[in-house]
Amino acid sequence: MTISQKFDYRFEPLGEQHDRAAFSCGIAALDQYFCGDPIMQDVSRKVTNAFVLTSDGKLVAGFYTLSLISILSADLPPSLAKKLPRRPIGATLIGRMGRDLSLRGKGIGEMLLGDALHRAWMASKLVLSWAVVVDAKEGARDFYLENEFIPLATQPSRLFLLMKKIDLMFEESRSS
Amino acid sequence: MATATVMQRTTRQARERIDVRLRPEQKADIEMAAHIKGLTITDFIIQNAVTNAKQTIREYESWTLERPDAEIFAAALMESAALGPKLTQTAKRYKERFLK
Repeated sequence: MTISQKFDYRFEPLGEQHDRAAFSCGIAALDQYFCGDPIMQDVSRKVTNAFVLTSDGKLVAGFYTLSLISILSADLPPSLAKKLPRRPIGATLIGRMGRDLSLRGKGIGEMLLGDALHRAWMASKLVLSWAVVVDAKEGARDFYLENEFIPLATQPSRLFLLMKKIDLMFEESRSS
Repeated sequence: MATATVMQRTTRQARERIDVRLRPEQKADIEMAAHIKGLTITDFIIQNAVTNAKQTIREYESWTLERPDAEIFAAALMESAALGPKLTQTAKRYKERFLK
């Protein structure tokens, strides 16, 4: 696929008009999810929202999915429990994210992450979210670590970024 | 567990079928395990598969902070938030391109 060098990308909610079959991020499981039926089923069943980066409204440079998860606390010693919210708290999950293999090294991942964090941040102003959580598939972990996500101890593929940090990214652009 | 009793109450509800092919030794293990638990093979398979499926869904939809993760999360909450260079750059470039 070719996408013009001039910067004219935009984000759109995933729809039938997007050419999913032409997309390949090179990770079989992610390609199967995006190119085939699963992502459309998840979207139509309202399991997740999906957004694509495109320049012509058809070809897909990258995509990501957003949904909500809740964070619960296990039975913890009181000294630790008092540092954490007592009730289950909401967080935003980037379930999957991928960019087309032909666009490697063009900063597409950064744009995808920027948009995902921006949407999560805007949504958090209406419905509170404490963090953006991600399930980093193979190879993607370093990308999130670089972007200051914090890894967990028990699930090495799961990382989080607190919303108070994301606030700092977008706060001054609020009024614009 | 609740899952088991829920299963037994479904007698009059619609039923679906799943055909599964498995190796003889896998089937022998299942038969043996069902016998030990005093369950029919069907009940044994359903109970285990459903419990496992619900657990998988729960893990996907929610994230229970076990001890070491809770410590990591609590430490992050206590920290005063400051942006590092990479995230600052991600934010700057995103705003230039999409929010101007």
